[in-house]
Amino acid sequence: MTVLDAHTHPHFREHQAGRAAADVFLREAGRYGIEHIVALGDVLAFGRSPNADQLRSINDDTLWLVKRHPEQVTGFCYLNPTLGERAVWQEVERCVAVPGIRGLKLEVANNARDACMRPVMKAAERYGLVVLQHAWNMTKIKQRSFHTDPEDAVLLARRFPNVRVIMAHLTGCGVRGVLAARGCDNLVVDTSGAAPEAGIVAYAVEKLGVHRVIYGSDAPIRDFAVAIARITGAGLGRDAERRILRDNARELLRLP
Amino acid sequence: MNAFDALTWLGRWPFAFLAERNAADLARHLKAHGIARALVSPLDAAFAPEPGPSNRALFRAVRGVSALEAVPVINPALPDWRDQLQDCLDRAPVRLVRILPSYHRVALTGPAMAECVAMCRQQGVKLAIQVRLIDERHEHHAVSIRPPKVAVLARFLDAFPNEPVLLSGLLRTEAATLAAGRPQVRVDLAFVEWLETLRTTLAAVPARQVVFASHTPFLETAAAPAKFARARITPAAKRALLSGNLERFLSA
Ligand SMILES: [Zn+2]
Repeated sequence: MTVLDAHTHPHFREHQAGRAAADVFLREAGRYGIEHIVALGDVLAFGRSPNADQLRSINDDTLWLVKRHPEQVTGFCYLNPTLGERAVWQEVERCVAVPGIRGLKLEVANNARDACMRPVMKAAERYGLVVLQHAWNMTKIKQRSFHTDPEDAVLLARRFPNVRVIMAHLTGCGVRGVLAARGCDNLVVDTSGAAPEAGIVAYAVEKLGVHRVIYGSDAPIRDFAVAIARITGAGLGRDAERRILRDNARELLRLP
Repeated sequence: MNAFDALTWLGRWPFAFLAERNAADLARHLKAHGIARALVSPLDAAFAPEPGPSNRALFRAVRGVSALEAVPVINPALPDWRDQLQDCLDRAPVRLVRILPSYHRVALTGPAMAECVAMCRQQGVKLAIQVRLIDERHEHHAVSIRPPKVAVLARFLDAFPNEPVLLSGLLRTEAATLAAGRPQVRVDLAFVEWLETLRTTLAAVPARQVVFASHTPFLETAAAPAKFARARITPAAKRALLSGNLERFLSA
């Protein structure tokens, strides 16, 4: 079965030797039938709140990869909304000029419910971009001032119903996160996050429907083999597996 | 695949919707994933007042299920831990006992653990330290449980450099830190993950110290053999990690 991975970081400065490593990464994806990846950038390379130069440097890696492998790679433009409206629009416009940039990536510079997200979502609306928002249950992590809880990601999606939102890290969002996402039809959840905890993928499919769950690995932090086994090991049946591993992301990203 | 699994559980867990299987069902489930044999511990022992009843239930459950080998839980923070251990040894041929330091508030560098290590050595029993059962970020909001710090684990290991210890539930970087330069240590792969898990792990940890573990029913069983299926390591290393290393550790 061919696979589309909606959550990867092909450039990982700490562990990989520059841009050449991205080719190795793509070959490794290919060994698992992953024909297309969403590249999100090495988002924590400069800490949780990069400045404009650092952001551009991270996005330059993504743009380079998208230009090099247009068939295999969709790029998401990484943003730091706390840099302000002007900076957000400038970086979005710089990135969307490159074909194959199909989304925006938000990490932990701010919480998704913050007012600084408004220009991000307006830009997503204007250019038809998907927004991938990092999310994790904050009950134990206690960083909600800048770190997005699933309920915050859902609030963001509800405020901007015309923007398609990916809530990252199903396993980090957990049962509460899945329940928060019910009825929020412009939001899907990716299957990445933590260890392959049993039952959570099947639970998300049961509560949200198979169309709202998309495969994402978070490689290289995670192993493609394990990330795919979360889906194929969940006892969902071939049709549901195909939707999660490929079709949902292909439709969401409007891939040719 | 014919794997020997270093970490599985029978029993109940209150904080997640885990599969509840009897011993025969567990053995069948594991076999369907290429796991021929498994060490199994009693999950109820994590929160029970003392582990005796859970251990006895485990011994009863696995009787006649040859694929499963009971690994009782011992709690050295309780005054009767010597009796707990002796009772287990009297009931079944035990090769390994498991300690849950963060669930039982066991001081790894305290006198009870020192004595426990000594008693295990005398009895020819190996020791497993369960560093985590689940991702600490996902513990229930009403409980406060954190894994022992790496520095504390290191101090414990260095206090007994000749005692073979299996560390269960380590993350990738913890496994590399704690196994390096400590040949007496074995680490299981349950929570170890990175792009090309096995190649990455073997670059940091000697192959003889690494053992296969699914951590069923907490983790998706299919994920454990998946790490091996297309791994680019030698067939000999694969065989050692899948079963040989654990067998040699237990029977040494
Ligand atoms: Zn990520």
